[in-house]
Amino acid sequence: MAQLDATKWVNDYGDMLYRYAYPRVNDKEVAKDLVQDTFLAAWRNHDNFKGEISEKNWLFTILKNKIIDHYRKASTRLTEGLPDNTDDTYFDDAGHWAKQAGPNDWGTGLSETVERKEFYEILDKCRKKLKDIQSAVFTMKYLDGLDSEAICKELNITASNFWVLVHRAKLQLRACLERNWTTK
Amino acid sequence: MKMRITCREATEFIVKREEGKLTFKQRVQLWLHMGICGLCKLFAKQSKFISKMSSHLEGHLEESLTIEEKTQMIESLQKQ
Repeated sequence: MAQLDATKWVNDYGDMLYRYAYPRVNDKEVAKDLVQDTFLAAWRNHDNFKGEISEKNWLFTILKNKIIDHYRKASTRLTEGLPDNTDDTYFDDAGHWAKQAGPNDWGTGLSETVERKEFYEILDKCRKKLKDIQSAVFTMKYLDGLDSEAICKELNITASNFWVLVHRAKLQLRACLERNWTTK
Repeated sequence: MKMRITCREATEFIVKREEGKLTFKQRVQLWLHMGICGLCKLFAKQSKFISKMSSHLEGHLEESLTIEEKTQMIESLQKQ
C-alpha cells in the first residue's frame, strides 16, 4: 500500500470537497463533517482503491454518497415539508394569489447585469429557511440538474409529493427574494 | 372538460413545465390562464430566473475550510 499523506490529502482536496458539499447541504458545520467523514472513509478503505479513477474522483464519489445519505434522513421526515391546509399564505380560498402575496415586477433585477454576489448571498439565506426535505429536492433539481424521476428514486418519495415540495420551495424562495433582494 | 385553473394550479404547472412535464391538456389550460393573469406571468419569469441562477450557484462561493479545521482533519486521519 502506498504511503498515505494526510496533510497532502487535506490540503489538496479539502477545500474542493467543502465547496461541493456546502451549497448542497447549506450548513457549514454539516458540510465540514461530511468532508471529514469522507476523508476518514477513504483513509480506512484505501486498500480497496484500485486506481481506476483518480483519487480526486474517488473522494468525490464517497462525498456524493454521504450527501445523498444526508438527504435521505430528511426524506424520512417528509411530512414536515408538505403543506397542510392552514399554512397557505400564498393563495386565497379560491386559489388566486392572496393579497400582498402576488409577485411584483422585478424590473431590471432579471437582467444580466444583476449584482451576482449580493444575489447569491440572499439566495443562500433564503434557502436556509426551507425545510430540510424541500432544500434537498431543490438542490438535487436545480444545482445538480437531476430530473424528477431520479430524485424520487433516490429519496424514495412519490412524484406527486415531489412536485408539491418543489412548487412550495419555489413559492417560498420567490417571496423571500422579493422581500430581501429586489426592494432596495 | 374543465379549462379554467387557479393561480395555485398555474404556478404548479409553471414549475412542472420547466421540466417538460405537462400533458397537452395542462399546456392548454396554462396557456389560457397566462393570457389573463399578469401575476402568474411574473411568477413564470421569476421562477425561470431562480432556476437559472441556482444552476450557477457553485462558481460564486468563496467558502473554504479554516486552517484549524484542516489541522483537525489531518490529526484525526493520522490517529487512524
